[in-house]
Amino acid sequence: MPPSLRAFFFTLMSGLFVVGSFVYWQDPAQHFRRRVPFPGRPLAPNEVWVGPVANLPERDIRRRQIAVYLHPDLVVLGSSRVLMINGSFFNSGVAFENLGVSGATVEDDMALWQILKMSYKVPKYIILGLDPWVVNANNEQRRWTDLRKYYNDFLNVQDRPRSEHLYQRFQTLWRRSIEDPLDNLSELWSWSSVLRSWQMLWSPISGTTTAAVYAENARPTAYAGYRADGSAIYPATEVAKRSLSAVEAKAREYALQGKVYSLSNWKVSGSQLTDLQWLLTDMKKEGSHVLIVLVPYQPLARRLIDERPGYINVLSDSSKFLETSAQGVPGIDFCNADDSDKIGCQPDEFLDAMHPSVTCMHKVVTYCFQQSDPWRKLLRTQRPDL
Amino acid sequence: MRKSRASHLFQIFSADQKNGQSCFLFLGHPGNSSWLRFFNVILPAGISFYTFQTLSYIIDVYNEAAPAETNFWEFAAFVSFFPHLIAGPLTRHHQLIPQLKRIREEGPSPRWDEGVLLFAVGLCKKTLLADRIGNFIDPRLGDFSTVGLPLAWLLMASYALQIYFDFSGYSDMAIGLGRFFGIELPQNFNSPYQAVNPSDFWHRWHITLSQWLRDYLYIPLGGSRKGKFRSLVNLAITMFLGGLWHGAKWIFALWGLYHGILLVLYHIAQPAWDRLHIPLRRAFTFVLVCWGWVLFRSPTLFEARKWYASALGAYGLLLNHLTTDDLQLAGLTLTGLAIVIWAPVASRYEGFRNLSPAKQCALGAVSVFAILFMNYSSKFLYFQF
Repeated sequence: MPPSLRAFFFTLMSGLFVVGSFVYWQDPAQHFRRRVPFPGRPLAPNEVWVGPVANLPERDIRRRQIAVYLHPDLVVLGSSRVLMINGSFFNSGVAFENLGVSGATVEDDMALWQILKMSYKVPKYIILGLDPWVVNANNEQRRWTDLRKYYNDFLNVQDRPRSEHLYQRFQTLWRRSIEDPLDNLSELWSWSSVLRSWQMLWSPISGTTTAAVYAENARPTAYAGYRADGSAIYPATEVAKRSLSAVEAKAREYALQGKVYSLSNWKVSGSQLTDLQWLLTDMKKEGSHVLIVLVPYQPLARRLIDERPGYINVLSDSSKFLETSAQGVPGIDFCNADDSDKIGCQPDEFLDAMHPSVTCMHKVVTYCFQQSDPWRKLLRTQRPDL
Repeated sequence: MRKSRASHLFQIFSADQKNGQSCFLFLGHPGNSSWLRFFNVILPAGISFYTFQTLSYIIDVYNEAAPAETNFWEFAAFVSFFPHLIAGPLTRHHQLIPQLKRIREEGPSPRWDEGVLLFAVGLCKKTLLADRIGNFIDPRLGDFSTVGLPLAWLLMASYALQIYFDFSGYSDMAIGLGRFFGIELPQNFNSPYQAVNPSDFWHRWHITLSQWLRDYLYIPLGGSRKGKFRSLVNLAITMFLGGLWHGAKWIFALWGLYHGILLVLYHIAQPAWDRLHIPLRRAFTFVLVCWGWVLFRSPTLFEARKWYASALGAYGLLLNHLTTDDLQLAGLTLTGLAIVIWAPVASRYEGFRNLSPAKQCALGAVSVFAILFMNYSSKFLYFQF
């Protein structure tokens, strides 16, 4: 270091040290020292498990959730876009469990399905929420590798030719082994981590090492959480802020800023569609009823994505590919609810560009379930208090 | 100029596959898509910069205006000197090769102080100003249904600042890196938004490109040697081609032509223009330049038309569609304007040699924030050219 720059480097290095230490101390993404475990017992119906807003070890939580939960009749698999489906939508006699995980791909669904099978908890009914990016070979989703053991187990049981998958899987795992540690380290010096750490400093999660369990009436104000049935509950303060203009601002940001989440470099993946067909076939073989649901995007976001160069027709094409794949397996029910107008979701019934609110999600489920038996009979006859 | 044509075709094929396909079809080729993919894949970053750099060297050697470089490694170092390879400044052989020879003979003489501090300033410009502004305006520019007159003008001014801080930030970093090796790269910006007329603007904005265009296009076309009318036509042609240098899209050519027309009109109306007060001339120049950035930023002429329509009030004021993000953008834009008006030109700032500890601490603290904001996804706007 040149002596004449001592003051500059001293400030720079000490500033980075202070910021990095602060983020490490708060550890909002739970990458370093804080691990908030999911409760080791099933939650009571009136309890909510509260955790940080983002970057939970969701897949691990789901795995343990399956282990501790009793035998579910109806299970939701899919991404964060189906996390708002909760047990109040259905008959009280239906044991419901939401196993959605953020950024879910077909690999996640296969792994979770495998865990269900291994736990002898094959449900009678499965809602499979599929997102457009599951078709995209370049979706850059690597989080499923948290469950790769179960994914591989599923493939082994299938006894199918795997060579076409090997290269792609190897690439994913290799990139993850290189990129994830660096990603984690860069979290220490990211502005969003600093903000989240600041938030945690002033409204900490009670009990830093054990799960905090809240009564349902005490809705978490600053943090997200899971209900006993695995569905998500969002912070009251955040949900209250979502006016139409706020939602549309989020929609614009999502659709027009940088790359659209997991949809860039669009290329239809044959291997992922094959995976999907194996999964559907296996579910049918095990005797489950399967309903594929395509969830709507916020209408402005959808329009803007449809008009954006590089993404034109991506959403409608993905729907077509998913429908064709589903039709390739006899007995699979398919519900295309990706048009919010068709199902009656208002533009402000979204949390942001791609996550429907609980009221919109209820409309989606009602629309899809009323189309055919045996789904119709599972719906709660009275409108739930959402 | 044969090589120039080849590199330009290369850029056409790579930057805009449709144009490339049309070109193939025009030449009688079936327009095989695998051909076009081939060109698309091998496009190197910053091709325009090093093609022009090599081109000027070859032309000067051919015209016997410069000696041929016989040392291959020095020539290779001149072409591939990494700090400015991606987005300039466009460096000419007489600026770089002698410095490389000096390094070979005497060893490098790094100027760490100036290099490190200038690099830090460039990084701050890029991540704290250009990227922040970009994050606000990108979502707005994709949907004009809620953009009224005041917002359209705000977006114009904001984009003008975004591209300035982005490109000049990169240039500062490149010049700073050059100083690590004791190499002085040419200045590329000199407070362009303080220009008092369109001609002055081009003496302050992307200076190395302006000089290249002057020496290798305007003067060979006849420059001002063949009468006033011909010199104005030459000016317009030069700016039109300068616009095309930015990308093989007609909208860039239109942007170049717009500036060509501005320069022509300025030269015609110069006496009247020069009678205006300086602040007024500065403000008019800024507005005219901002008006041109609409063409530069819009992906198509159709989008540009919508932006112009909003700015002319075709959709009304739409004040009820303004959000807190727009207010933040306005604040950021005012901050940017204040910096443009009052801050010294970083790459020419002599004070870096003996910056006081207090100022070093301030720059260090701001740099911490610049590093924190680096995690946001962003790209250098001039990477594509």
